[in-house]
Amino acid sequence: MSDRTARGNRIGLTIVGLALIAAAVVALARGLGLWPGLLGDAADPVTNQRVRAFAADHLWFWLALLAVAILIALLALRWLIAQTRTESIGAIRLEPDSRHGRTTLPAATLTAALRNDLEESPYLRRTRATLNGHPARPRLAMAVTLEPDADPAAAEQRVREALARLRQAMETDHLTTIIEIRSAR
Amino acid sequence: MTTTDHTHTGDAPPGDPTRERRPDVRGRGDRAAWRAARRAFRPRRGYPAIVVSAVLAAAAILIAAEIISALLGRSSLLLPVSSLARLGRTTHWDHLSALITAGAIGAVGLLLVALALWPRRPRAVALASHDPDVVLGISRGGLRRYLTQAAEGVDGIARAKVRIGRRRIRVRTVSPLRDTSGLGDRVRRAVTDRIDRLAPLRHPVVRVTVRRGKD
Repeated sequence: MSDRTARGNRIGLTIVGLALIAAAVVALARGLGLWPGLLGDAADPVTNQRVRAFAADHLWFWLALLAVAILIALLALRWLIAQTRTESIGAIRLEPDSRHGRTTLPAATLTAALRNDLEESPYLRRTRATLNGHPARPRLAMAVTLEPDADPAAAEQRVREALARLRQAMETDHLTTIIEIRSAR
Repeated sequence: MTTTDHTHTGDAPPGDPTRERRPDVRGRGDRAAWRAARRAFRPRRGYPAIVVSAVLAAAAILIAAEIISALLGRSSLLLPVSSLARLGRTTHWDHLSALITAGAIGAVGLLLVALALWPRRPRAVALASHDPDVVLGISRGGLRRYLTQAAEGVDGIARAKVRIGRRRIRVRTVSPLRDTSGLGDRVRRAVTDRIDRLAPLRHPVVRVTVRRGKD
Protein backbone atom coordinates (compact mmCIF):
# COMPACT_ATOMS: atom_id res chain seq x y z
CA MET A 1 0.00 0.00 0.00
CA SER A 2 1.45 3.33 -0.91
CA ASP A 3 1.67 6.69 0.72
CA ARG A 4 -0.91 8.05 -1.71
CA THR A 5 -3.37 5.39 -0.60
CA ALA A 6 -3.14 6.56 3.01
CA ARG A 7 -4.16 10.04 1.93
CA GLY A 8 -6.84 8.74 -0.43
CA ASN A 9 -8.36 6.69 2.37
CA ARG A 10 -8.66 9.75 4.58
CA ILE A 11 -10.29 11.74 1.82
CA GLY A 12 -12.64 8.92 0.83
CA LEU A 13 -13.77 8.23 4.38
CA THR A 14 -14.35 11.96 4.97
CA ILE A 15 -16.44 12.39 1.81
CA VAL A 16 -18.62 9.33 2.48
CA GLY A 17 -18.98 10.32 6.13
CA LEU A 18 -20.00 13.89 5.30
CA ALA A 19 -22.51 12.67 2.70
CA LEU A 20 -24.12 10.37 5.26
CA ILE A 21 -24.20 13.14 7.86
CA ALA A 22 -25.80 15.56 5.37
CA ALA A 23 -28.47 13.01 4.43
CA ALA A 24 -29.19 12.28 8.09
CA VAL A 25 -29.43 15.97 9.01
CA VAL A 26 -31.91 16.64 6.19
CA ALA A 27 -34.01 13.58 7.08
CA LEU A 28 -34.04 14.44 10.78
CA ALA A 29 -34.87 18.10 10.10
CA ARG A 30 -37.80 17.04 7.95
CA GLY A 31 -39.01 14.41 10.41
CA LEU A 32 -38.85 16.88 13.29
CA GLY A 33 -40.64 19.53 11.21
CA LEU A 34 -37.84 22.10 11.55
CA TRP A 35 -38.28 23.84 8.16
CA PRO A 36 -41.57 22.61 6.73
CA GLY A 37 -41.55 25.47 4.21
CA LEU A 38 -38.23 24.33 2.75
CA LEU A 39 -38.20 20.58 3.28
CA GLY A 40 -41.90 19.70 3.22
CA ASP A 41 -44.41 18.39 5.71
CA ALA A 42 -43.08 16.15 8.48
CA ALA A 43 -46.22 14.01 8.33
CA ASP A 44 -45.72 13.19 4.64
CA PRO A 45 -44.78 9.68 3.59
CA VAL A 46 -41.09 9.29 2.71
CA THR A 47 -42.11 8.88 -0.93
CA ASN A 48 -45.21 11.03 -1.24
CA GLN A 49 -47.59 11.32 -4.17
CA ARG A 50 -45.56 14.05 -5.88
CA VAL A 51 -42.28 12.15 -5.68
CA ARG A 52 -43.90 8.96 -6.98
CA ALA A 53 -45.61 10.75 -9.85
CA PHE A 54 -42.40 12.55 -10.80
CA ALA A 55 -40.39 9.32 -10.82
CA ALA A 56 -43.08 7.49 -12.78
CA ASP A 57 -43.43 10.22 -15.43
CA HIS A 58 -39.81 11.05 -16.12
CA LEU A 59 -37.57 8.48 -17.74
CA TRP A 60 -34.56 10.79 -17.44
CA PHE A 61 -34.85 10.63 -13.65
CA TRP A 62 -34.11 6.90 -13.75
CA LEU A 63 -31.36 7.32 -16.32
CA ALA A 64 -29.71 10.01 -14.19
CA LEU A 65 -30.03 7.81 -11.12
CA LEU A 66 -28.49 4.95 -13.10
CA ALA A 67 -25.59 7.15 -14.22
CA VAL A 68 -24.94 8.28 -10.64
CA ALA A 69 -25.06 4.69 -9.38
CA ILE A 70 -22.60 3.52 -12.05
CA LEU A 71 -20.28 6.44 -11.30
CA ILE A 72 -20.32 5.69 -7.58
CA ALA A 73 -19.75 1.98 -8.27
CA LEU A 74 -16.70 2.73 -10.45
CA LEU A 75 -15.21 5.17 -7.94
CA ALA A 76 -15.77 2.74 -5.05
CA LEU A 77 -14.20 -0.15 -6.97
CA ARG A 78 -11.22 2.01 -7.86
CA TRP A 79 -10.85 2.95 -4.20
CA LEU A 80 -11.05 -0.71 -3.20
CA ILE A 81 -8.43 -1.75 -5.75
CA ALA A 82 -6.14 1.07 -4.61
CA GLN A 83 -5.75 -0.75 -1.28
CA THR A 84 -3.49 -3.27 -3.00
CA ARG A 85 -1.42 -0.65 -4.82
CA THR A 86 2.28 -0.84 -4.03
CA GLU A 87 3.87 1.26 -6.79
CA SER A 88 6.35 -1.56 -7.23
CA ILE A 89 8.53 -1.59 -10.31
CA GLY A 90 9.66 -4.52 -12.46
CA ALA A 91 13.22 -3.49 -13.11
CA ILE A 92 15.78 -0.98 -11.96
CA ARG A 93 18.27 0.96 -14.05
CA LEU A 94 21.87 0.65 -13.00
CA GLU A 95 23.34 3.76 -14.66
CA PRO A 96 21.27 6.76 -13.82
CA ASP A 97 22.94 8.58 -16.72
CA SER A 98 21.36 7.14 -19.85
CA ARG A 99 24.05 8.65 -22.15
CA HIS A 100 26.33 5.82 -21.08
CA GLY A 101 23.91 3.19 -22.20
CA ARG A 102 21.33 1.39 -20.19
CA THR A 103 21.67 -1.61 -17.95
CA THR A 104 18.57 -2.84 -16.24
CA LEU A 105 18.19 -5.45 -13.58
CA PRO A 106 14.93 -7.21 -12.75
CA ALA A 107 13.65 -6.03 -9.38
CA ALA A 108 12.55 -9.57 -8.53
CA THR A 109 16.15 -10.81 -8.80
CA LEU A 110 17.32 -8.23 -6.30
CA THR A 111 14.53 -8.72 -3.81
CA ALA A 112 14.89 -12.51 -4.06
CA ALA A 113 18.62 -12.18 -3.37
CA LEU A 114 17.82 -10.05 -0.33
CA ARG A 115 15.28 -12.58 0.91
CA ASN A 116 17.71 -15.47 0.44
CA ASP A 117 20.40 -13.55 2.25
CA LEU A 118 18.13 -12.95 5.24
CA GLU A 119 16.59 -16.40 5.21
CA GLU A 120 19.82 -17.82 6.60
CA SER A 121 19.46 -15.72 9.70
CA PRO A 122 18.11 -17.61 12.71
CA TYR A 123 16.36 -14.45 13.92
CA LEU A 124 14.19 -13.86 10.91
CA ARG A 125 11.16 -15.84 10.01
CA ARG A 126 9.99 -13.94 6.96
CA THR A 127 11.15 -11.08 4.80
CA ARG A 128 9.07 -9.08 2.39
CA ALA A 129 10.78 -6.68 0.05
CA THR A 130 9.60 -4.59 -2.88
CA LEU A 131 11.31 -1.99 -5.00
CA ASN A 132 9.11 1.01 -5.64
CA GLY A 133 9.27 4.34 -7.34
CA HIS A 134 11.23 5.12 -10.49
CA PRO A 135 13.62 2.62 -12.16
CA ALA A 136 16.49 5.11 -11.94
CA ARG A 137 15.74 6.06 -8.34
CA PRO A 138 14.23 2.98 -6.75
CA ARG A 139 13.09 2.87 -3.16
CA LEU A 140 13.19 -0.31 -1.14
CA ALA A 141 10.39 -1.23 1.24
CA MET A 142 11.09 -4.11 3.61
CA ALA A 143 9.08 -5.84 6.29
CA VAL A 144 11.01 -8.38 8.32
CA THR A 145 9.23 -10.67 10.74
CA LEU A 146 11.32 -11.85 13.66
CA GLU A 147 11.12 -15.17 15.43
CA PRO A 148 9.32 -14.71 18.78
CA ASP A 149 12.49 -14.99 20.86
CA ALA A 150 14.75 -13.06 18.51
CA ASP A 151 16.64 -9.98 19.57
CA PRO A 152 15.47 -7.06 17.40
CA ALA A 153 18.77 -5.24 17.78
CA ALA A 154 20.71 -8.26 16.49
CA ALA A 155 18.23 -8.76 13.68
CA GLU A 156 18.54 -5.11 12.77
CA GLN A 157 22.29 -5.55 12.43
CA ARG A 158 21.73 -8.56 10.20
CA VAL A 159 19.33 -6.62 7.99
CA ARG A 160 21.82 -3.79 7.75
CA GLU A 161 24.50 -6.18 6.47
CA ALA A 162 22.14 -7.67 3.91
CA LEU A 163 21.22 -4.18 2.79
CA ALA A 164 24.88 -3.28 2.33
CA ARG A 165 25.33 -6.34 0.11
CA LEU A 166 22.25 -5.42 -1.90
CA ARG A 167 23.57 -1.92 -2.46
CA GLN A 168 26.82 -3.40 -3.62
CA ALA A 169 24.96 -5.58 -6.12
CA MET A 170 23.06 -2.53 -7.31
CA GLU A 171 26.30 -0.57 -7.56
CA THR A 172 24.89 2.27 -5.54
CA ASP A 173 25.72 3.97 -2.27
CA HIS A 174 22.29 5.42 -1.86
CA LEU A 175 19.13 3.43 -1.68
CA THR A 176 16.18 4.93 0.12
CA THR A 177 14.90 2.15 2.33
CA ILE A 178 12.02 1.70 4.72
CA ILE A 179 12.41 -1.21 7.12
CA GLU A 180 9.60 -2.32 9.38
CA ILE A 181 10.50 -4.88 12.02
CA ARG A 182 7.66 -7.08 13.16
CA SER A 183 7.61 -10.05 15.43
CA ALA A 184 5.89 -13.38 15.02
CA ARG A 185 3.44 -14.57 17.61
CA MET B 1 3.62 -1.68 46.86
CA THR B 2 3.83 0.43 43.78
CA THR B 3 6.97 1.85 42.32
CA THR B 4 6.83 4.48 39.66
CA ASP B 5 9.85 5.66 37.79
CA HIS B 6 10.32 8.51 35.40
CA THR B 7 13.81 8.16 34.13
CA HIS B 8 13.63 8.71 30.44
CA THR B 9 11.83 11.94 30.03
CA GLY B 10 9.99 12.69 26.82
CA ASP B 11 11.30 14.99 24.16
CA ALA B 12 11.76 18.56 25.25
CA PRO B 13 9.64 21.02 23.27
CA PRO B 14 11.41 22.80 20.40
CA GLY B 15 13.45 25.76 21.52
CA ASP B 16 14.15 24.20 24.87
CA PRO B 17 17.87 24.61 25.65
CA THR B 18 18.02 21.12 27.18
CA ARG B 19 17.36 19.74 23.72
CA GLU B 20 20.92 20.34 22.58
CA ARG B 21 22.37 18.27 25.37
CA ARG B 22 20.20 15.25 24.82
CA PRO B 23 22.26 12.46 23.31
CA ASP B 24 19.40 11.13 21.18
CA VAL B 25 18.53 14.40 19.50
CA ARG B 26 21.11 15.52 17.04
CA GLY B 27 19.47 18.56 15.55
CA ARG B 28 18.45 18.87 11.94
CA GLY B 29 19.42 15.46 10.63
CA ASP B 30 17.51 13.87 13.44
CA ARG B 31 14.44 15.94 12.86
CA ALA B 32 14.54 15.01 9.18
CA ALA B 33 14.78 11.34 10.17
CA TRP B 34 11.80 11.79 12.47
CA ARG B 35 9.76 13.38 9.70
CA ALA B 36 10.73 10.64 7.25
CA ALA B 37 9.70 7.98 9.75
CA ARG B 38 6.39 9.71 10.45
CA ARG B 39 5.71 9.68 6.72
CA ALA B 40 6.80 6.09 6.20
CA PHE B 41 4.76 4.71 9.09
CA ARG B 42 1.73 6.91 8.64
CA PRO B 43 -1.46 5.07 9.56
CA ARG B 44 -3.33 3.94 6.46
CA ARG B 45 -6.87 3.38 7.71
CA GLY B 46 -6.91 0.34 5.46
CA TYR B 47 -9.66 -1.66 7.15
CA PRO B 48 -12.28 1.12 7.26
CA ALA B 49 -11.43 2.02 3.67
CA ILE B 50 -11.85 -1.58 2.51
CA VAL B 51 -15.19 -1.98 4.30
CA VAL B 52 -16.62 1.35 3.12
CA SER B 53 -15.46 1.03 -0.48
CA ALA B 54 -16.72 -2.57 -0.73
CA VAL B 55 -20.14 -1.75 0.75
CA LEU B 56 -20.45 1.34 -1.43
CA ALA B 57 -19.49 -0.57 -4.58
CA ALA B 58 -21.88 -3.43 -3.80
CA ALA B 59 -24.79 -1.08 -3.06
CA ALA B 60 -24.21 1.04 -6.16
CA ILE B 61 -23.87 -2.01 -8.44
CA LEU B 62 -27.04 -3.52 -6.98
CA ILE B 63 -29.03 -0.31 -7.46
CA ALA B 64 -27.72 0.16 -11.01
CA ALA B 65 -28.65 -3.45 -11.86
CA GLU B 66 -32.16 -2.99 -10.45
CA ILE B 67 -32.70 0.19 -12.45
CA ILE B 68 -31.52 -1.48 -15.66
CA SER B 69 -33.73 -4.49 -15.09
CA ALA B 70 -36.73 -2.25 -14.36
CA LEU B 71 -36.07 -0.13 -17.46
CA LEU B 72 -35.99 -3.31 -19.53
CA GLY B 73 -39.28 -4.36 -18.02
CA ARG B 74 -37.86 -7.34 -16.12
CA SER B 75 -38.75 -8.25 -12.57
CA SER B 76 -36.49 -7.21 -9.73
CA LEU B 77 -33.25 -9.12 -9.18
CA LEU B 78 -32.16 -9.12 -5.57
CA LEU B 79 -33.69 -6.11 -3.88
CA PRO B 80 -37.29 -6.50 -2.61
CA VAL B 81 -38.28 -3.51 -4.73
CA SER B 82 -42.06 -3.68 -4.26
CA SER B 83 -41.90 -4.00 -0.49
CA LEU B 84 -39.34 -1.18 -0.35
CA ALA B 85 -41.74 0.96 -2.39
CA ARG B 86 -44.53 0.08 0.02
CA LEU B 87 -42.27 0.98 2.94
CA GLY B 88 -41.64 4.38 1.32
CA ARG B 89 -45.39 4.97 0.90
CA THR B 90 -46.34 3.91 4.41
CA THR B 91 -43.44 5.37 6.42
CA HIS B 92 -43.83 9.04 7.24
CA TRP B 93 -40.91 11.34 7.88
CA ASP B 94 -41.96 11.89 11.49
CA HIS B 95 -42.28 8.17 12.27
CA LEU B 96 -39.99 6.94 14.98
CA SER B 97 -38.54 4.34 12.59
CA ALA B 98 -37.65 7.05 10.05
CA LEU B 99 -36.04 9.21 12.72
CA ILE B 100 -34.08 6.28 14.13
CA THR B 101 -32.88 5.30 10.65
CA ALA B 102 -31.78 8.87 9.97
CA GLY B 103 -30.01 8.98 13.32
CA ALA B 104 -28.21 5.72 12.61
CA ILE B 105 -27.07 6.97 9.19
CA GLY B 106 -25.77 10.13 10.82
CA ALA B 107 -23.93 8.11 13.47
CA VAL B 108 -22.21 6.03 10.79
CA GLY B 109 -21.26 9.25 8.99
CA LEU B 110 -19.78 10.71 12.17
CA LEU B 111 -17.88 7.48 12.77
CA LEU B 112 -16.34 7.60 9.29
CA VAL B 113 -15.33 11.24 9.61
CA ALA B 114 -13.83 10.50 13.03
CA LEU B 115 -11.90 7.53 11.61
CA ALA B 116 -10.57 9.74 8.84
CA LEU B 117 -9.63 12.79 10.86
CA TRP B 118 -8.82 11.50 14.33
CA PRO B 119 -5.05 11.28 14.61
CA ARG B 120 -3.98 7.66 14.77
CA ARG B 121 -0.78 6.28 16.10
CA PRO B 122 1.88 5.51 13.52
CA ARG B 123 2.16 1.86 12.52
CA ALA B 124 5.66 1.52 13.90
CA VAL B 125 7.94 3.09 16.49
CA ALA B 126 10.73 4.93 14.67
CA LEU B 127 14.28 3.82 15.46
CA ALA B 128 17.57 5.53 14.75
CA SER B 129 18.96 3.98 11.59
CA HIS B 130 22.37 5.75 11.52
CA ASP B 131 21.90 6.14 7.78
CA PRO B 132 20.05 9.04 6.20
CA ASP B 133 18.79 6.75 3.42
CA VAL B 134 17.21 4.24 5.78
CA VAL B 135 13.99 4.67 7.73
CA LEU B 136 13.74 2.03 10.41
CA GLY B 137 10.84 1.14 12.64
CA ILE B 138 9.60 -1.61 14.87
CA SER B 139 5.95 -2.53 15.00
CA ARG B 140 4.12 -1.77 18.21
CA GLY B 141 3.41 -5.46 18.76
CA GLY B 142 7.04 -6.39 18.17
CA LEU B 143 8.27 -3.81 20.65
CA ARG B 144 5.66 -4.87 23.19
CA ARG B 145 6.69 -8.51 22.98
CA TYR B 146 10.36 -7.66 23.24
CA LEU B 147 9.92 -5.47 26.30
CA THR B 148 7.53 -7.94 27.94
CA GLN B 149 10.23 -10.58 27.68
CA ALA B 150 12.71 -8.20 29.28
CA ALA B 151 10.41 -7.44 32.20
CA GLU B 152 9.45 -11.06 32.72
CA GLY B 153 13.13 -12.03 32.62
CA VAL B 154 13.75 -10.11 35.83
CA ASP B 155 14.02 -12.36 38.90
CA GLY B 156 10.94 -12.06 41.06
CA ILE B 157 8.58 -10.98 38.30
CA ALA B 158 5.80 -13.42 37.53
CA ARG B 159 3.97 -11.55 34.81
CA ALA B 160 4.40 -8.33 32.93
CA LYS B 161 2.12 -6.35 30.68
CA VAL B 162 3.53 -3.65 28.46
CA ARG B 163 1.60 -0.86 26.83
CA ILE B 164 3.22 1.22 24.15
CA GLY B 165 1.83 4.72 24.05
CA ARG B 166 2.77 7.61 21.84
CA ARG B 167 5.38 8.92 24.27
CA ARG B 168 5.06 6.61 27.19
CA ILE B 169 5.64 2.95 27.85
CA ARG B 170 3.82 1.45 30.78
CA VAL B 171 5.07 -1.76 32.29
CA ARG B 172 2.71 -3.37 34.75
CA THR B 173 4.22 -6.30 36.57
CA VAL B 174 3.06 -8.77 39.17
CA SER B 175 5.47 -10.26 41.67
CA PRO B 176 4.87 -13.09 44.13
CA LEU B 177 7.65 -11.82 46.42
CA ARG B 178 6.82 -10.38 49.80
CA ASP B 179 9.50 -7.73 49.56
CA THR B 180 9.35 -5.98 46.23
CA SER B 181 11.64 -3.08 47.07
CA GLY B 182 14.06 -2.35 44.27
CA LEU B 183 12.18 -4.66 41.96
CA GLY B 184 10.65 -1.77 40.01
CA ASP B 185 14.11 -0.34 39.51
CA ARG B 186 15.40 -3.61 38.15
CA VAL B 187 12.48 -3.97 35.77
CA ARG B 188 12.96 -0.42 34.59
CA ARG B 189 16.64 -1.04 34.02
CA ALA B 190 15.94 -4.21 32.03
CA VAL B 191 13.33 -2.46 29.91
CA THR B 192 15.28 0.75 29.30
CA ASP B 193 18.35 -1.32 28.52
CA ARG B 194 16.49 -2.98 25.68
CA ILE B 195 14.99 0.33 24.54
CA ASP B 196 18.49 1.81 24.46
CA ARG B 197 19.71 -1.06 22.32
CA LEU B 198 16.95 -0.36 19.84
CA ALA B 199 17.70 3.36 19.94
CA PRO B 200 14.28 4.90 19.21
CA LEU B 201 14.36 8.34 17.64
CA ARG B 202 12.34 9.59 20.57
CA HIS B 203 12.99 8.04 23.91
CA PRO B 204 9.73 7.20 25.61
CA VAL B 205 8.99 7.74 29.27
CA VAL B 206 9.10 4.36 30.99
CA ARG B 207 6.74 3.78 33.87
CA VAL B 208 6.95 0.64 35.90
CA THR B 209 4.47 -0.53 38.46
CA VAL B 210 4.96 -3.62 40.60
CA ARG B 211 1.96 -5.23 42.16
CA ARG B 212 2.19 -8.01 44.67
CA GLY B 213 0.18 -11.06 43.82
CA LYS B 214 0.19 -14.73 43.06
CA ASP B 215 1.34 -15.92 39.68
